[in-house]
Amino acid sequence: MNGTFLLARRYLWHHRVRSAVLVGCLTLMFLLPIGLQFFSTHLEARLTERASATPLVVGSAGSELELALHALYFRGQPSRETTVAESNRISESDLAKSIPMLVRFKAEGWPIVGTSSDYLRFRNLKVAKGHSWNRRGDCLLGATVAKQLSLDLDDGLMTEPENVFELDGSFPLRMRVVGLLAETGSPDDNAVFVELETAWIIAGIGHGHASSRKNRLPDVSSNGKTFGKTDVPEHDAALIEFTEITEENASSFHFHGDRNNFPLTAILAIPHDEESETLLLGRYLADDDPAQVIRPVEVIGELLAIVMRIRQLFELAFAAMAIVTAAMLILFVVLAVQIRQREFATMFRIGCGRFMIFRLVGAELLILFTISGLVTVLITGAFICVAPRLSLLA
Amino acid sequence: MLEIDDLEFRYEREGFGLRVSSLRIASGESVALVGPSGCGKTTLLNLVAGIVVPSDGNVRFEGRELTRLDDAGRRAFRISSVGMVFQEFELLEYLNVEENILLPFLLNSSQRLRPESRTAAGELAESLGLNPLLHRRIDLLSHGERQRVAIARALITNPQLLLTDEPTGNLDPATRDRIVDLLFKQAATRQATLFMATHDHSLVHRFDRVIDFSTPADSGIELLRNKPVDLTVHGEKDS
Repeated sequence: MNGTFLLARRYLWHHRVRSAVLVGCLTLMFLLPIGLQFFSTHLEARLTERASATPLVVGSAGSELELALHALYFRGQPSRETTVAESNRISESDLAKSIPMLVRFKAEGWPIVGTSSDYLRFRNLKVAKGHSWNRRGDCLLGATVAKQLSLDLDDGLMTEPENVFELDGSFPLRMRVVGLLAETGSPDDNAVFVELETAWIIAGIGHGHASSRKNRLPDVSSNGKTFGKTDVPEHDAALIEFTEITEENASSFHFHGDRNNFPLTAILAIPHDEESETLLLGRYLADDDPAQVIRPVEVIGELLAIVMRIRQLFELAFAAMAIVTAAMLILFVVLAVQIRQREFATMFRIGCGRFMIFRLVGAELLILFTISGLVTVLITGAFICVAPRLSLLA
Repeated sequence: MLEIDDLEFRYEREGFGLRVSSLRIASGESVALVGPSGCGKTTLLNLVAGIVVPSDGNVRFEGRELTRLDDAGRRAFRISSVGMVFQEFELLEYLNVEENILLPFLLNSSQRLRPESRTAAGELAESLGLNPLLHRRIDLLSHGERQRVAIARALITNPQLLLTDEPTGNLDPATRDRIVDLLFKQAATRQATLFMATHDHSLVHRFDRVIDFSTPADSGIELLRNKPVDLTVHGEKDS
């Protein structure tokens, strides 16, 4: 057997380009269905896990899927926002704990989640470094955000204006990083967390009077990097205008209007028990209710049903591809054997049986399949390691 | 002793046949098979090696009746007792010199490649002047070097029958003589019976016996130091 494998190895190495192409084809043949299976299973698990951990979500009436994706994964915006009054309605019902969320703004492309400290407790988010919010303007960074932006405690992070053409809108807020959250492998790693009031200040609902840095030379850029004083001309028309909440001006920040009307984009409702959940669901049954309550696990389940149907289509395509690849492989082997007739004839004349020739070709195929299998395992393993960090799955 | 009696073999499609009434070759003898291309020299070598099976008659080697052996038995006979040198050498380009010499061991699943096989290959390579080339690729060898590798491969199993098919074709006279010397020397060292198919009549005087396929058994060429042979060639095989 050792001779067979030596001959097979030598032959494959001698024709290494051809062998590499075959390994590539076989790897793809293995990898695509395995990768799809793994990816969809992983996606399903991650989506379901997050959805299962969130009993109810309340928001404005509209698309259930939009609301679920927004509240759970900070993706997209519901077509209409709800208000603090809705959150109070849940709290006052004494059926569930209400966790308000305002996820409308971004900083360096990462979503800013305005919420209460209940959210951190509910999602079991731990501060790995620093501390939680002390005052308005403080922010906590998800693990991925901190890593990607290379930010640390006391660094500044500028919010993005909602609309760059809205000249009379609120100024960007320079937030202070006070804590870095431990990695969770969830969408929370990809978000910036601020107190709800900070989110309202970003929205321009609250403001201060002392320290707006309008037309002053900034000491930080929009990406939080510090400029030297000589790096920026003093009367540059492109000067960035922003607001910063400091010890000195913190007390001057205040809100106008009825707080009940302040915007929220979603509310997580955590019922006390199953009965409370049923009762709460019942309260949102009226057709003319401007709010809706959803069970994320059901909404995500429907989404996954669509994903699974798409997966079945892919599986059919991969099965067809596997058949084509297998047919090509058979053709390749048949052609290779024909090309090698003279070599096999020599082996036969020396004393080698036909079975040995089958074994030799078999050993070559076994080596090719083994290498392809190993490459597939390596790529799949690498993907498993990397997958939690992919934004698609997180 | 190689004994052939009433042997008959036919290629049905080609209409070519070979019949050997009686042939006795003693161990250690050298036999030249001469005649033009396609006259049946290679066929006789294949019959002696058990590569093809006669339709009738017997081939015995050292008392063993080859015609009664099954396919596996004939293969085992070839591996253990026959060394073959082909006209085009038929070396495997993806193996190096040492591995080509060891090919009979690599192809024989019942025999694992042992360290002593490698030692034997090394000694054989040394005796043929191939030692510095043991790990060289075949395509980097000269014609003469390849020829010596093919001879080493034929000798590695210490065969009792050394069958060579036009091993000096396309060689200049000096190289041809060197190769023939080498074959005679190696066959003599091993007391092996040497068969050489050739169309080069200038070599026949070196052999104990000459079988000339271009003339019948009573042709004049049998008068040359040869023992009488009853050999009949039917028709001509396309070359």
